[in-house]
Amino acid sequence: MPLLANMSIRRKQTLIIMGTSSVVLLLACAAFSIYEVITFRKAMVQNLSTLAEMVGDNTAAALDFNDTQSARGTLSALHAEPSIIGACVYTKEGRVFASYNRTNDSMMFAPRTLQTNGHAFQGQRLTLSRPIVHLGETVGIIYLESDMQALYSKLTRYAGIVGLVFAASVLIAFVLSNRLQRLVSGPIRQLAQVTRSVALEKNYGLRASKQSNDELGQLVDGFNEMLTQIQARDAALQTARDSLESRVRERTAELAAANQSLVAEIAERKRAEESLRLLGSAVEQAEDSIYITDAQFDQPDSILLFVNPAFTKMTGYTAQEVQGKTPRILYGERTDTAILARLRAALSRGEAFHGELINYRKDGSEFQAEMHVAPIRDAKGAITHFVSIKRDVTERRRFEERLFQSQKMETVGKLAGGVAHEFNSIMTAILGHSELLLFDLPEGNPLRKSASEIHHAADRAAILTRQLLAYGRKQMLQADVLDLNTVLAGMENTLRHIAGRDVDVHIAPSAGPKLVKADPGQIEQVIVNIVMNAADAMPHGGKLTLETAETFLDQQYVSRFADLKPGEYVMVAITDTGAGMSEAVKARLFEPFFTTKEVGKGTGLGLATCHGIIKQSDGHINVYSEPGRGATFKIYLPKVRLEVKPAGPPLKSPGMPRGTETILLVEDDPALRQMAATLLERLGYTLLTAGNGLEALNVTHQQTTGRIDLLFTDVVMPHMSGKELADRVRSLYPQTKILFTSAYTENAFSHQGVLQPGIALLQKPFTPSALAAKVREVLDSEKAAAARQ
Amino acid sequence: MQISPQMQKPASRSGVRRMLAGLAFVAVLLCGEGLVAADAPVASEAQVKAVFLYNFTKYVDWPTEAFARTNSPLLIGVLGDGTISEELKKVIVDKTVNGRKIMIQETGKEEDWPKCQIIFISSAEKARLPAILAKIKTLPILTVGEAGGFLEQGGIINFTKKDDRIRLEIGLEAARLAKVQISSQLLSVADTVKGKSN
Repeated sequence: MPLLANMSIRRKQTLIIMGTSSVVLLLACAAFSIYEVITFRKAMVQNLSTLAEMVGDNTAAALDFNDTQSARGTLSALHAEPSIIGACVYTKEGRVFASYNRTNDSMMFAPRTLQTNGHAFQGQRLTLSRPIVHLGETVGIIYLESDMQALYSKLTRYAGIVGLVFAASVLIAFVLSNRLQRLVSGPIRQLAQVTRSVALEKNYGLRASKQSNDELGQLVDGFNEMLTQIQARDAALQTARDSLESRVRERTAELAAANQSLVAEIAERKRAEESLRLLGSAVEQAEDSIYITDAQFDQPDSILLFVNPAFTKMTGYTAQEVQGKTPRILYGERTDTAILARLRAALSRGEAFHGELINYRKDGSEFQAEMHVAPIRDAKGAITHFVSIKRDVTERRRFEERLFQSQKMETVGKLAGGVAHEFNSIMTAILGHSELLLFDLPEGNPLRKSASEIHHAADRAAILTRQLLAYGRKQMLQADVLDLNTVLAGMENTLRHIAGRDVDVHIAPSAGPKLVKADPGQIEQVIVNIVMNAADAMPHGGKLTLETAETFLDQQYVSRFADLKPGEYVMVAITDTGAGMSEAVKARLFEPFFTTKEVGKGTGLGLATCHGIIKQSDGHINVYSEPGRGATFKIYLPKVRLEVKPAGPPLKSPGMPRGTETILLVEDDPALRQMAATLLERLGYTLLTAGNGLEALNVTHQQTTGRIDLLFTDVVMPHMSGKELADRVRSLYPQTKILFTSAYTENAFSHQGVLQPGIALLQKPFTPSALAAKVREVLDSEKAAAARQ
Repeated sequence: MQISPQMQKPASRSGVRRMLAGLAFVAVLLCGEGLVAADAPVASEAQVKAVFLYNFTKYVDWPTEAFARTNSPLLIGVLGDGTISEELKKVIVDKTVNGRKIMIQETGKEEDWPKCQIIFISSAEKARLPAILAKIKTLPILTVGEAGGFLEQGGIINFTKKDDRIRLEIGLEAARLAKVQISSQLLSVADTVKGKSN
């Protein structure tokens, strides 16, 4: 009943009352109507019956005496009764005796059927037949037919009345029920309203008012009692909730604190894990061999507990193999036991140890290991383990040794160079003056012999000094691009001569030019020196092979040597079949003054000079040799791709050339300055001299002749360098030619240590004839100089 | 008209009702056949008169002294006509009126006349009519005749024939004389009533 379910109780009540009363009223009206109909019918039948009896009585005689006239008369009296439609009298035999028809007199009225006694309602008609009894004897039958119109009109009236009564009753019932239902629904609605208010406002303090003592009153009482209980329970709940909330707050705060500390702890742990992981990967991926041992002091040795992959790589022992072993497996014959003792002692004191030891690999090979051993302490500070970090420093040691070697040579070279430089000037002065002396002394003068001896000795000293300078890399190089194949080919005869008849010299150049940038004279000197050395190693003859080749020095190779760059190199290999060398000899081979030859046979500067020259040319020299197996010297020079400079014309000309030009001579060494000035003045030149650059500039300014044809200056001087001076002089006298002289070039020119191509240079020590020739050459090189400018 | 209700499956209520009414009508026709009277064989004059004689007993009141006892039978005497007498015998079989048996006084003897309550005097006794009437006209006897002038001679009811139907003439003087009370009903069916007081 969804329709009813949504209805208010008031409507429901009204509906129920209305429905009930309507049904009851309808039933009552129907019963009444039916009763009325039945009663009316009965009355009708009764009336008709009475009428029939009356008519029958009045027609009995007519029947008895066959007087239809009389009977008809009697029947026609029925005209007074409007409801009678027709009547008929039958003889007792059933023959029609007389009839009456209201509508049409002439037509005989007769029923279709005839009953002796009875009645029937046929449609709108009531038919009735009765026997005509006279004195107990049936004499005939009377039949009457009555119109029911009366009944129907009466019934219609009745229906109207009943309808009115029904409507009025329903209306009254509606009004009454509408009023009276409030008695029941009023309190219920009030209760519902209070319930709604309670539900909406959540106000359990509301109460429904009691209006009666019936069941509704009990309901209100019950409801109010329930509200009271709810209020009490709410209050209890509120109290409980309040305490619960405060407890929850407390717990939440506790939880939050716990959570915070947990988060911090997690973060801390994460950091710890991360650092652990990092530590782990660091240890796993470290290049250094790391191992951990236990710290059982009562045991003779600690046991290996952990080794990292670098350990395996370094020693050849896998982690499984070292299990339960001690670090002793790494030590051997050449391991310094004193260091081990110090290690043990340090560890037993709880100190860290740092040192270097020779270690042995699984395959027995040895390596130099730098080691750090540190104790690992637990939280209480007790030593539980040791951690050892080892690094294979074999290579480094070797490199350091080599570096040390080269530094040593550098130092020796510097020393030698410094000494030689000073010597150079002295030797130049001695040479110059002895030559001047020889120049001045007439033939046959007994002093001439002494002067010649001085000159000869000074010449040897000058050569030695020059070699020292070369070794010390302090000499000026006049680098040119040259083909080593050509150089070797040009030297072939000289080399055969040097090697001697018993040595078979074989030159095997590889195809194509082998271009390098170097001072051709110096390179020749290097080759000669090595060949001489080789010849000395083969006093009883042998075979000497000189080869050229192009090679590439890679990073791995060059990293083993200081100052060597990777790249393409031209190599000259000089191989002999001589006595060969020991390691010890090889190690000191390029040291100056180191020689295996008898005293007086060698200066000990030959190979050192080679080393210096090659180094100065950015090259590299190496030797491979074993005692009794001969030796191979390999010279590497950087390969270049430039044109080869055609060999210049011979510089020297017989006799000392002369001139009349004005020369500004700047030299800080007074002896040398004096020697050069004397020589040049004797050769006809006008000389202006200065001890340094500033002086030279003064002289230049005071110069009255208006020309300076040549500036002959030392490169390295105090206050102002030769180069700077040259520039200043050139600014005043653009036509002035420049000739530099120098023993070394440190800090003076470009980093390459060579003069710019084409700049004239006279290397110290020089002879007067060399000076005279060079001065003349420079002065005569006007065209060439102009072309270069 | 639906004879077979079974065939009319979707028979509506009104249809059924109509059908039942039809059946009832047929039944009434059949049953009522006998009651609807075909005309009976035409009764003879004697038969009619005999019935009339009997019928008179119902419309006539006799004084108590007319009967010897309270349960004495009512006697009808027929004079001069055997046919009527025979017919009457058939009519009165087992008939009673007011608790009295109806009987016929067949002996025409003069001494039996006073016993009768009704005496029919046929036209055959026309000759003796005055004498008979003179003898019984003061007695409580309903005298019935069939001859002209019967009332004038002192008779009470006379059968006449009119349109081949037997009609009645009633003489109230004679009735008063005989102290028989004739009901108004009977009077109403009589063609002629003589001696009416009002």
